[in-house]
Amino acid sequence: MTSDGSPADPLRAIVTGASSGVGRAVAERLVARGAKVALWARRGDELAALAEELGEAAVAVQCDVADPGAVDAAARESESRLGLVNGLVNAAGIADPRPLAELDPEAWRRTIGVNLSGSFFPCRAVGGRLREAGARGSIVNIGSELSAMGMPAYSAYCASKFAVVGMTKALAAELAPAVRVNVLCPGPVDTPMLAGEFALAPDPDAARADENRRPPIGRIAQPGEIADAAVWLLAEARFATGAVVPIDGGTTAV
Amino acid sequence: MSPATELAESRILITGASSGVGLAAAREFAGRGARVALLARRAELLSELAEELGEAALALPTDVADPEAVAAAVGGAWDAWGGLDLAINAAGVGMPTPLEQLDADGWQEVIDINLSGTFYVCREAGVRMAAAGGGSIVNVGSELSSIGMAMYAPYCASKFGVIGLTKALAAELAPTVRVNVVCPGPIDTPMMDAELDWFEDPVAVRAEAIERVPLKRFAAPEEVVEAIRFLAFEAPFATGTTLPLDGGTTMV
Repeated sequence: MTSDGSPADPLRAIVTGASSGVGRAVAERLVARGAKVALWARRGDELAALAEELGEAAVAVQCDVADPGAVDAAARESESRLGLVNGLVNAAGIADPRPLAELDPEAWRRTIGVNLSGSFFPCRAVGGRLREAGARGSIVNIGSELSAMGMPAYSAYCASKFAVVGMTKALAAELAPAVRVNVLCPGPVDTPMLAGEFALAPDPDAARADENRRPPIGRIAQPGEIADAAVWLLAEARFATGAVVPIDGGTTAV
Repeated sequence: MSPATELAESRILITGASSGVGLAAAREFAGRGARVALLARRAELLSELAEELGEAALALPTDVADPEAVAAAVGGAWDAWGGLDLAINAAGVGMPTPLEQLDADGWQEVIDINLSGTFYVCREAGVRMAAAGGGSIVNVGSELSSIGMAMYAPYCASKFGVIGLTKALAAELAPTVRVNVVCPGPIDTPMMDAELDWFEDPVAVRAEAIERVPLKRFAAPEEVVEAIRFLAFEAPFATGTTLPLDGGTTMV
């Protein structure tokens, strides 16, 4: 890494959705490699427990990423506690599968608000500060296999995740060469979010078994595998920007 | 011997090993303890490299456009080591050629090496890996796997083709063998030098080529090797993945 993480200028990163799943695994890995991390999530108690577990390199910042005012305040707090933030992983996301008839405007706006606008607002805050400071940095957004394909009952989710790809490419073009912006597109990952989706099925165990058979690779991913890829893109892949990187067990290859 | 998932224990076949990305991969992976089977056309360069890398290296002079030669080389490496854990298709050619100068032979040579050569290696290595119960293939595409460029019709055709080939084989060889493709933008290699030298003013063309890249530089071959290492050894859930590593050239 260059100035976005060399020993002279270490990585100071915000991770959204840090209380569970991929976000939590990313935060753990970043701390393990010597970064300072601001953990963002809505659930303050879980965040505080994680921050304690990760030690002094991690600070908990309660934030609803769908709220632009809250994001700006959280970004200021993160900078005051870590120094200028030069890394961002937007892992906050929700899945609320609904057939079209049940996808009312409020449910639509909630999914778009967290997954899409909730990625944009942190990009705007961090990218804007890096611009002002003339500093280098790196952003990883989390898309989905549903950034490239459709799935019944996921129209809001698909719309939000396709849009994250477009936003990533536009911001990568706009913020180059100082700030790299990439998007990682996981397939199914064994997270509390996915468990919540299984719980909606008539037979959750059967739904999990079906999901494990869906990827050509024959299983769903563990959060750590996706987090490894996110950290690689954030900190190691120095010639990648605007890249859309599927790590999906082959679901979008077929 | 079961397929290795750690780089240091791996048996790796590399095409295009005499130059550029293939050469950098051979040095990097041999330096980290892997055994490397080196394929390229130029036998002298290969044996010099094998000497440099020591016991870990096997020089197998091969024209990847020749399916029988590929079968002999892949089979030879497989038999020598009792298997292969990773095959890297880095062999490739491409020179700017205006359409009116692009005859059938010129077209065929690029398709034969970049696309069919990749296929022959995938077939010989992939079938054996699937039967042995594991392994991984990383193909090298290009930014020209997803965008067009004047005077590069056969190159673009071949590199777009590598993506389709990769995805089809990823589907067919799953869940046993993972198949992925890294798509670099401009890289500082001898191939790049040769391409630039084709123009009247290589220095100016190089400056223009760098200006075209949003990150405002060319990649080093070692950065592409790092992406290959990531796909092969650190991304066990990746198959059928197209990994762009292009400084942003394909997003704008």
